[in-house]
Amino acid sequence: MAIYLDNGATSYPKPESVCSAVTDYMRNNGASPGRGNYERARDADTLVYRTRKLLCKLLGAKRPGQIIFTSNATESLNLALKGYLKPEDSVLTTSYEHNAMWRPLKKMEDERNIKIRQIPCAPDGRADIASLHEYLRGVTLVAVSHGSNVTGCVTPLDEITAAAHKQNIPVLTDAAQTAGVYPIDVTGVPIDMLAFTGHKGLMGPTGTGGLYIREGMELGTLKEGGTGGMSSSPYPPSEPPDRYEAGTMNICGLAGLHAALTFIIDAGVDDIREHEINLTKLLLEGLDTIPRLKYYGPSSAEDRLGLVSFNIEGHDPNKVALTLDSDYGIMVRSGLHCAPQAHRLLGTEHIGAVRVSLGYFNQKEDVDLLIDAVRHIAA
Amino acid sequence: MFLKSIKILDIDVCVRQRSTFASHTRASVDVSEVMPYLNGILKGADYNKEADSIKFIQNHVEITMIKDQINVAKFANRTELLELLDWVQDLVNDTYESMSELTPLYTAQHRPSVMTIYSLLPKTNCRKCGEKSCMAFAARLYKLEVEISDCGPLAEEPYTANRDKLNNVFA
Ligand SMILES: Cc1ncc(COP(=O)(O)O)c(C=O)c1O
Ligand code: SF4
Repeated sequence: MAIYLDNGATSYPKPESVCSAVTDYMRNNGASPGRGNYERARDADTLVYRTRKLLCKLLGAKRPGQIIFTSNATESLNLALKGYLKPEDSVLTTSYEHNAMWRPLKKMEDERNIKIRQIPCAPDGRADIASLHEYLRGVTLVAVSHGSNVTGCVTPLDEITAAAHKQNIPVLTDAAQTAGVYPIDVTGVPIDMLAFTGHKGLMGPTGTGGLYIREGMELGTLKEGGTGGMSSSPYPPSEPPDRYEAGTMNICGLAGLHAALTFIIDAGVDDIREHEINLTKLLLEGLDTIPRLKYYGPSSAEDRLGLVSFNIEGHDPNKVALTLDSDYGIMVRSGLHCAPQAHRLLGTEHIGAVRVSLGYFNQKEDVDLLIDAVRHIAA
Repeated sequence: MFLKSIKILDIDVCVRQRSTFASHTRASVDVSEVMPYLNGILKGADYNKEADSIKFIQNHVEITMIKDQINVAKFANRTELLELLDWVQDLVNDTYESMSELTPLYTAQHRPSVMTIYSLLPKTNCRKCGEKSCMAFAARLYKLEVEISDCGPLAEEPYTANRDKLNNVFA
């Protein structure tokens, strides 16, 4: 029996309705949205539109046009950063960003001479926002992960957004690890841009994702090309979402994402979160009983996402992950998790760590078996 | 539910600009009976009892209803069109549900002449509205092809009092 505990990379399994929505679209519709004027093409339009509406509902956005589809969170963050930042701008970010945020920022540092400032963190990975107002001085964009894929820490977006908006600084957040598994409300906590990916907590197919952009905010485009409408102009249209969505969409993926969002809204994000908290509690309690094992991040399940990174003294984390797979059939991820910044923070930048990331379909038994296996390996 | 669905019959493709984007749709029911109530609540709507038609503007988009036809023009893209049709469906259904509390208006709303509108505009011909002159803007406002807010200068002093007057005459 195989146990999948790498939901932080991508969620598995997907709800059955997601798989059937993809094949149903491919078999029975197959048209490109936003272009043709025949009924099936218009049905494809409606499918894309309904997917935007479900995302509005899930994220608290008001208008479907504020949801821009991309191929993943990485593309969304590239669009947000490259479309917004001007030469000499100054960005405040965290010390635990994923490379999807960190590398575009570093590139902008080289190419547009932007300044990058990082919010310091406590050793358990929590952002230290006590002196936030000082760090915000002169900043033109706050760009922070909503939840770390290594430490599991959740960024206090409400406090950061309130402080940033007091100084009229917009806030971009990377919700790759939180969308679908953690409550988000871009209206209640007025986020200006929110990047999400469709294939992790949102339970959709890979190759789907998006960027929420607050109404009234216009970004430069990352790509130009056909948008279906206003074709005689040599320039992209000014109105979202078409402005940012040049090229034929991943409509197969969006058909799946539509089904996934329907599944999540039915299940309820609060219930999904509660399930993950319960499993995380068990996981942390179990890991605590294993000698010479150290896990990273907050010790309370309520204060973190359903993912936990750990190391066992004297054990190479890559070997631990390999053994878990080959001898126990348990899939976890080792290494730096594309987030060397976060590992630097934990002091694990040279060895990495083993990361267990839970999903909605995991059960208590999965956690029990993992704990037994890790105990064996550590003994 | 009174109006169960609105089916898109066509969407103008390959268009130049917002002003030429148009779509014809068919409502699942004839919405004529709701029109006088819509006329009673929608500011500046153009209702014609004989033709069972009503025309109004929402967020720059032109909507014309004739019996079970709903024509939409000047939307920016298909997302906006679909969003608008959802809005129209909710509006018609909410109005239908509340008909007993609402007052129908069977006559055309009082509309000022082009000259009256012109007299309330800044008359600077600044072209910020995209029209060649304030007179051209007045003519289009009369036909409900533009909105009062499309004249930016009206939102600034010393014109806000005139803007309020315009809002009142279109109310
Ligand atoms: C925090 C975080 N940001 C961004 C990403 C990038 O997501 P994607 O690979 O779907 O673009 C990931 C996952 O890989 C992540 O964990
Ligand atoms: S924006 Fe107003 S003032 Fe300027 S030309 Fe148009 S109607 Fe006249």
